Amino acid sequence: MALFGPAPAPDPPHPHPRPQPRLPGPLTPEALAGVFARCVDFGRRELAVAGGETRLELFYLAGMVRMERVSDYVLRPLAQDGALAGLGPEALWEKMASGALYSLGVEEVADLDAAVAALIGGDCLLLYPGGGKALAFNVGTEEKRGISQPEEEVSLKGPKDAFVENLRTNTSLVRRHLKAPELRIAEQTVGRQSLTPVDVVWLEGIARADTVDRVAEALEDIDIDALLSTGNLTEYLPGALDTPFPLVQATQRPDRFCYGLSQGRVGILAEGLPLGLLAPAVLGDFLRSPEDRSENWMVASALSLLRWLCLLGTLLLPGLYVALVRFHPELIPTRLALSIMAARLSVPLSALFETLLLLVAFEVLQEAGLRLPAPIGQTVSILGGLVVGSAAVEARLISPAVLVVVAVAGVAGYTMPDQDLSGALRLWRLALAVLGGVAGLFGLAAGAVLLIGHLAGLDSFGSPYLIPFAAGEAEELLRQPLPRDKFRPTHLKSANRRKQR
Amino acid sequence: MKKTVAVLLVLALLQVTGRLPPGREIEGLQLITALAVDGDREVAATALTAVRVGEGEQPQLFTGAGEDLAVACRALRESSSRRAYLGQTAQLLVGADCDLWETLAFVLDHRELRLDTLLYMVDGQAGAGLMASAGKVSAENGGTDPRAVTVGQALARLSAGDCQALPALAPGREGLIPDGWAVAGPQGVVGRLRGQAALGCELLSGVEMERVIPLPGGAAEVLRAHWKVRGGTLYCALTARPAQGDPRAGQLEEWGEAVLSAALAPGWDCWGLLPSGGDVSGLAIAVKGRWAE
Repeated sequence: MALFGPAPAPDPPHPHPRPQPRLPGPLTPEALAGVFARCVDFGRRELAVAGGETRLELFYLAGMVRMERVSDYVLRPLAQDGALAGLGPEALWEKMASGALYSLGVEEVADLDAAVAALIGGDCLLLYPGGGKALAFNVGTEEKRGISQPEEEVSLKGPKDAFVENLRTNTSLVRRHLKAPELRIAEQTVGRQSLTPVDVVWLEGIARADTVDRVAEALEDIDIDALLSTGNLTEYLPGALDTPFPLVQATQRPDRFCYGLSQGRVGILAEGLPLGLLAPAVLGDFLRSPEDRSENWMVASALSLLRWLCLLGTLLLPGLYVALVRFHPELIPTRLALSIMAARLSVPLSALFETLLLLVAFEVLQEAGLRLPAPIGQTVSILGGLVVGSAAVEARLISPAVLVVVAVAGVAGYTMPDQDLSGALRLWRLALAVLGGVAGLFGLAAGAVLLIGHLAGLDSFGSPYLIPFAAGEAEELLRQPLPRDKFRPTHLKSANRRKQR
Repeated sequence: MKKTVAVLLVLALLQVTGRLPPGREIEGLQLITALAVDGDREVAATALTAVRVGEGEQPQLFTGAGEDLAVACRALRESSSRRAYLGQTAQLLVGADCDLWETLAFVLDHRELRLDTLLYMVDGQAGAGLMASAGKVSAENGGTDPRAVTVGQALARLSAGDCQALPALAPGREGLIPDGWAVAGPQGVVGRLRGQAALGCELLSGVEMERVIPLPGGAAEVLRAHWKVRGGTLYCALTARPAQGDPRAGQLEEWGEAVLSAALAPGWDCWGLLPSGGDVSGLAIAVKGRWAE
């Protein structure tokens, strides 16, 4: 029995998400044309080999291929190479496949399904006379955004490159950072309609094989129409629906991604997503800034502790304020209590409603600032934060104390290096404020126990989520001096734990 | 998520059914900073509100009376337009005719009053003294008293059957002034330590004195005192600084012996000198005086 009504019946077994072959049937010109019927970008041309009698048919999708490549590397040799003249179909086929045409990537496809996939992937197809098989030449366009600086994970001392939307560019970035031949990249296709290639990346011998398998299986189980956003991946991972906390770590920075791989974690890269995902991901990972390893270890450790304090502050401060003001004024020093009383004397709202209102207003301002273009967003933030805030205080709509509390909690939340974690904390902050306002410190403590219980029950691909407070990894709270940081984290269960002498 | 919703619902239910204490807006409270208790059969409670220092606010006094302290406090609340809140009470003044045990038991049971409230024994009417000292006491929010003894400390010792020295106040020209120590035992207040005995009590209580004492060769400022009891002798090490003239260490030691003898003379062990308690008047005294560097 579920909490609200009977438990839903299990889903009936559904067909395989990507039935193979998707397009059964023989490979013929008519079948290809039928697949792309009413597609204006579908191109088809008949060619005479070296001006002779032998005729071939070329197929392509405009925009997916670079025309000059087709002209220079496929059409020109076919039209001008005298060695191809007068050859029989089989000999001609052998010649074309073995280098008469100037393309690095050439593949023979023998069925309609593979031929269509090759066309969509940016290949042009030369169909064997009469059909039945075809040669796919890799002449695709490489239109992509250039590698730029990461916008959300600013790098001060580290590398300045960031992942882009192109999967192969991203894997090349990883290869450039990790030149180990043990780097493995396995590809799967996700999305019934998007057919998005998704790569699982790991270091053989360092990442736990079981974790690699679990990640691959989780991707295999994703049955969606289109993989167009990060949520299409992360929300389909095991357990992700039951918590607002992120169970995989997203990063824009290849160096951070590669550091995760070198620690024994498993990476996920997807076509169209300018970021990499790392699994397993535990709470401590989200509190660690990629810049930590570029800082002095003492400074980085102090900053790490500061972030943990900020985590507590952003979570508990509004709830604590409401609980103290409404239920436990004896815990407030007398002078402070008198100041709060004086500030609240003319405020018409209750402390709980006032705090919730301001927390929601804070979120509204933040959302408005994010969704608008940068210059307007800043203006909205300044207008909302400064002008409206101070006007509300002057008009005695809210008290300065709660404004300070909510602002401090909000700013403390901004110290979180990970936006996904920050979002989860904002949600819980609101819940804890309600609990503190309804039942005082008792409610706040109940909420905190609930949160800790929730976190303790989370599991990211076999790693307890509460690390560094679980599994004896308390040293992860601080940044170890690099020469002494000799072992990979225990919870990753790497076969090769030692990472330096 | 379901668990969170469930907890919220349970808490809301508890709140609605009155199982949880109701929340009150802090601005609806009148923070009481000092509470004076007088009377034995007809108990009178006098409360003084806290004010913000430097804001020109005037403290308010509320009074209430009843057959016991609980009734008196209820009456006191009714005399205030805003709810008199006792949770910020920093000082509890107990009048001479008041039952100390009943007062301490009331603090222990009361939902708002705290065990870290400082306890003072007033020689005379505590309420009248509080009224006379209103401005001074009200401005002492957050201040520290070197002689401080909290209700919790007093309760702990008295419950164990020991004596406890409590700072005493007496009415003066401008309100209440320090007036030695009152000694409380399990039966209530058993006596007073004044003059030299009070100084000896301060030495034994570990109060940071910084008190200037006249000595035959001049004057000295007593800084610290450390003591221990071994084999029926109270050894005390006094650290002082010459304040005037050229006092000798021997004179400091003589002064120390005199004040300690006066404190021990009644025989009350308010300081845990003897592990088994009992009469401390028979203890020998050895004082070592030294000058601070």
